[in-house]
Amino acid sequence: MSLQDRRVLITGSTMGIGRAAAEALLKAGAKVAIHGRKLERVEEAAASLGFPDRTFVVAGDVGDPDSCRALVDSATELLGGLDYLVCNAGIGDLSYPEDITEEHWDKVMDVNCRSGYLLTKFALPALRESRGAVLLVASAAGVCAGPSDNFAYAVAKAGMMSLAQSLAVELAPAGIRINALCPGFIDTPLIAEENAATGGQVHRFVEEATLLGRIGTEEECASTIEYLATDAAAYFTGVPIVNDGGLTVQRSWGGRN
Amino acid sequence: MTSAMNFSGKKVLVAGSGDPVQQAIAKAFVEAGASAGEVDILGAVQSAGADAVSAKVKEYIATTGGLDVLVVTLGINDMELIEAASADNWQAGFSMPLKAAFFAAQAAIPALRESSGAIVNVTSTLGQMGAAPGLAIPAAAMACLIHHTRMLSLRLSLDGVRVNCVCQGYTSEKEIVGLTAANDQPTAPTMEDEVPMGRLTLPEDVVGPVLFLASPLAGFMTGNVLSADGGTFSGH
Repeated sequence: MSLQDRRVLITGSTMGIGRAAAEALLKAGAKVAIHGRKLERVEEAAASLGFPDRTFVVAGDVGDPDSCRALVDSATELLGGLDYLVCNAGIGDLSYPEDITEEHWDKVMDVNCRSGYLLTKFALPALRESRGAVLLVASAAGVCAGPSDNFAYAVAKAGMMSLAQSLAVELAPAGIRINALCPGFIDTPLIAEENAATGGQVHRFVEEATLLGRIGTEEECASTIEYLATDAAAYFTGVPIVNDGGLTVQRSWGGRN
Repeated sequence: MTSAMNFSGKKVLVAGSGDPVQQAIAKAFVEAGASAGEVDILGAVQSAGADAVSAKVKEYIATTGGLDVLVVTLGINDMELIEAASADNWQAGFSMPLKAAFFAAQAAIPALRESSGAIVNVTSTLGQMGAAPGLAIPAAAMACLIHHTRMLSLRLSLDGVRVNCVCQGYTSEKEIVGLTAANDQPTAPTMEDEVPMGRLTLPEDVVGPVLFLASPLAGFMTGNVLSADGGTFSGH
């Protein structure tokens, strides 16, 4: 489906799911602002995508409110407006509930939940004009309780899903749709690293715990993100779209832990 | 049955922001025989952060010599449309109350492991559905506390510590209509539409489910969400 000249900002798109989504949207004809914390890495990622005329770069920490405003303003200016905001940037810092510090808690909540609210807020003037759409990338971890060392992350992602529900109510009169995407285990560099560090434990767990018996690909996530940008998805708002290979449907993936 | 709801000799801490539901719960535990105290943890976190919450909970445990039940109540104290909201609204309506709820539970874990105790969180139906305009921030905090309940229940399951929560329904008309006037919603929802039982949630509606979840009657319940909302969530 053509997304010719749609103006898109994807946060956290120098690698992983965000980068794959940027690639899919660029191939479909969209203009895409790539984002990451460090400008240098964003420039590298943008150059590697191969669509220099339609690729733009913005940088900043989504955990910081002022940076959220600055990066949205900058992307909107570069793109000449905004049709689709994908709040994908997040962090996966681990800590068991007994060991969580205030610093860990604040960082995980700010980056993985507050950013969805603030980025949407700062994008509103442009989205009102375009009657555009927002996608908040949450997680299967926010759908069902899972491993305990993922505590703050899972709680934050449940908050992200709630934001999609409430903001769908609030923004519907402006013609703005907002949904949540809840990926399960996806074969991103971060998961690959964890898999390597644990001698293949992550992949073995995923093969056993998901109904489809395998880890998801970045492209399988990107295609959902692309679909939600199209007019074909115009009747979706306020819902979680769970893209997890059947991780959360039957087997417990947390259990007692 | 009657004896199972007797909290005689039990040490109960009801933490929250000093709202009416917190006081009603503390009173009900005392009526059921418990030695119950209240701690204003939201006030603590506003002034001094997570350490102050932990200190207050630990101080209570040290004074009473243990803990059997921790109740944490989360209220709605701030409404703002996303367009007008600032990072300060997020801080007051999400960060501080949720952080207080988490660090209160964290500080109570060792004592609850010792007593095979229970945690009951009081949150809101708003955390399970799309809230009215202006309520996205508190609704997200409520959703987070519901998921915190599930996550913590798994962590503590082998220790015999149960963690559950009660969702209150609408506690004020403002929660039903939200800030609609400013948001050009074509039709504002009404109590008739939104609450099958036709009235707002009162503190005493929440007390029963909280005592039940804290009692041995709910001995095999953990990670559960009970709605005391007059039927609101059933239609969502």
